[in-house]
Amino acid sequence: MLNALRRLSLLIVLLAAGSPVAAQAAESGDCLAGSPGSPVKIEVFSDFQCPACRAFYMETISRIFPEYAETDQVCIAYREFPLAMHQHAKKAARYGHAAMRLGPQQWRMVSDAMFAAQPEWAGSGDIDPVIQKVLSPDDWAALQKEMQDTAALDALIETDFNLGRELGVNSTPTFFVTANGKTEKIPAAVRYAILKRYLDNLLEK
Amino acid sequence: MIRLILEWAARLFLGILFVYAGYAKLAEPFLFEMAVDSYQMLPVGAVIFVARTLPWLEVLLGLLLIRGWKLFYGAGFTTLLLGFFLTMMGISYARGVEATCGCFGIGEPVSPATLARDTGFFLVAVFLTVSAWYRRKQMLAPSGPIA
Repeated sequence: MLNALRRLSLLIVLLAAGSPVAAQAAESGDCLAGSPGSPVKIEVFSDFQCPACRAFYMETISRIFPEYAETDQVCIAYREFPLAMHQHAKKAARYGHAAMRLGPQQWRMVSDAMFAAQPEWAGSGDIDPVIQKVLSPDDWAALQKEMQDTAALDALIETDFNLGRELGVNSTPTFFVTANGKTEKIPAAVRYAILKRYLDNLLEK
Repeated sequence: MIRLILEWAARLFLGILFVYAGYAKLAEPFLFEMAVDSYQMLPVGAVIFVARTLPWLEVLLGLLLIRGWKLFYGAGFTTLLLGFFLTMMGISYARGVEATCGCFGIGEPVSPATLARDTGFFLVAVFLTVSAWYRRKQMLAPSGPIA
């Protein structure tokens, strides 16, 4: 009974405050889902134009979000690592960072849309309609405003890229799993069923 | 004499290498499952089976090579296994699959450098097999006419 009252009061506070958690901007390396106190952290270096990154996001990470991140068992962070061989990857990475500035929810919507429609825009670079379709008019306007700050977005991309290089990233996707004070580098896309076994093992320890 | 010294060195080198490779995988079995999965060639069940059995096979082969027992068979099987690894890595690389080698744990993507290194291991194994076969042939050959 007491717990139910506490939950209700928390809900009222969140609603009154306009749910500030959802509206808070995220930065590179921040948890886009899951809390910073989660026992496991997955940090992905990814390129929106890379087909393997698309498969990893759509088949694996998108299932980790509800199963592990939203239950605060895993924190998922994304960093941009646009490869020079992909002509429109940098523009997509700018969208990624701009969406991150709006908030984790917006980042998810933009990432879902960009990865899902990757075959459509990878040739033309026409990303705008893909994103506009999934965002509300307000969010789209806010995103366009963020996108005007090209220099700042490029600086964020460069920071991510340089960090990746320092950590020995030379292909995408490469992800780092940190748990129990140890970090493992996995330079490949793996299926959900296999990553799940690894995460379950880490969470049991 | 030189051939025997080279054979001894190749046997110990490959033996220690295989024991180490097997041990590294056994120490982190879930990471090795991810390495096998990254080749995108097997269904999930087969990935788990390979990841759980291959390291033991490597340790066993390594110990056989270090001991030198049934060298022709041990070296022959090692050659076949290294040839299989090399083929899988080559196919993955040619297909543009971002696979992790998994050779000595995880963290090393398949690249021209890993392909060159494993080709070197394969050639050492080929030499060892041929050398063991030659020695075996000499031992089995009749030593001379009996008066």
